[in-house]
Amino acid sequence: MSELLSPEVDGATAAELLPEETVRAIADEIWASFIGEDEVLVPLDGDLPSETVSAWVGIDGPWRGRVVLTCSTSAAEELTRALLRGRAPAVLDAEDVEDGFGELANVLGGGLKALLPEASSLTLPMVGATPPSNGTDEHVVTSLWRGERIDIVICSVPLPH
Amino acid sequence: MHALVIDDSRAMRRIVGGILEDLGYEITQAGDGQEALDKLEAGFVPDLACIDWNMPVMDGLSFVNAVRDNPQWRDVTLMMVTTESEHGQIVRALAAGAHEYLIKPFTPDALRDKLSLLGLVPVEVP
Repeated sequence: MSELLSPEVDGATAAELLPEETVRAIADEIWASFIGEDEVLVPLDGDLPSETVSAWVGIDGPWRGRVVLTCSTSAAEELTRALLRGRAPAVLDAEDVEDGFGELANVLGGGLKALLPEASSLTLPMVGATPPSNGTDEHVVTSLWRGERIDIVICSVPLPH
Repeated sequence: MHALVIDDSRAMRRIVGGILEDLGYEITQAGDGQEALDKLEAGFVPDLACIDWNMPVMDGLSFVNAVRDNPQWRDVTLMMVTTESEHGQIVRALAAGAHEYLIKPFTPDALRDKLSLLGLVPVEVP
C-alpha cells in the first residue's frame, strides 16, 4: 500500500495534512457564506451535551480520511434554519435537519479535500448519532457557535483488511 | 425564464431555487442527474440548469455529458454548483460543456454575479 501513497501523504497524520488553522479558515468561510455574514465560530471550548448528532463525509484518495461535524441536536436544527434563512419551513422535520446538517458537512469536507496535496473524491454525506469508529489519529477542532459547542473532527481511515 | 435546480440536498435546492426565484426565475427541482434527464426527455427544456456534482444515481458531470450529447438541448445553459473546487475538476466540467462553475459555499451575490456574466439575470434586483 505504501508505494501507492504520494510522498506528501505517506505517514502524515490528519492534523499534519489538515491543521487546525486550515480547518478553522474553511469553517469560517462556510459560516460566513451559508449561515450568515455575522455568524462566527468562536475558538473556545464548551460542554458537549450527552445527546449529539454528527454529520460526516469520507475523503478517498492517496489519504483516506473522514470529516465529522458534531453538535447538539438543537444546534443542528438551528444551523439548518440558519442555512435555509428565510426559506426554512415553520417547523423543521427530522429529514430537513438531517439534510441541512449533512450538506454543511459535505461543504466542509469539500473545502478541506481541495487542500490535500493530491486529487481525492468525497463520499456522500451521512448523518447519525455517532460516526463510524474506525478512525485513527483524530484531531478535534472545537468552537462555540451561539454558545453551543461545535466539533469538527478530522481522522484517518485505514483501508479495511 | 425557467431554471432546473439539480442537487441531492433538499436544503441546497431550496437555497439555490430561492435565490433564483428572487431573480424572477420559475424553478423546477431534481434530486439527481437521472431525474433531471428524465424531465428533459419528457420535453421540459429550461433556460438554465444549476447542477451539483456529487449525487447518487447520476452525478452532475454525467448529466452535463448527456445534455451536451443531445443537440436538442444545446440552448440550455449549464452551471455547476458544487463543493468540488480543485482546478482539475473545474477544467473537466467546463471541457464537458458546462458554461459556468460556482463553488460551495457561495453567497447570493456570487450566484447573481455568475448569472450576470452569462446574461441570465432576468430582473434588475437592487
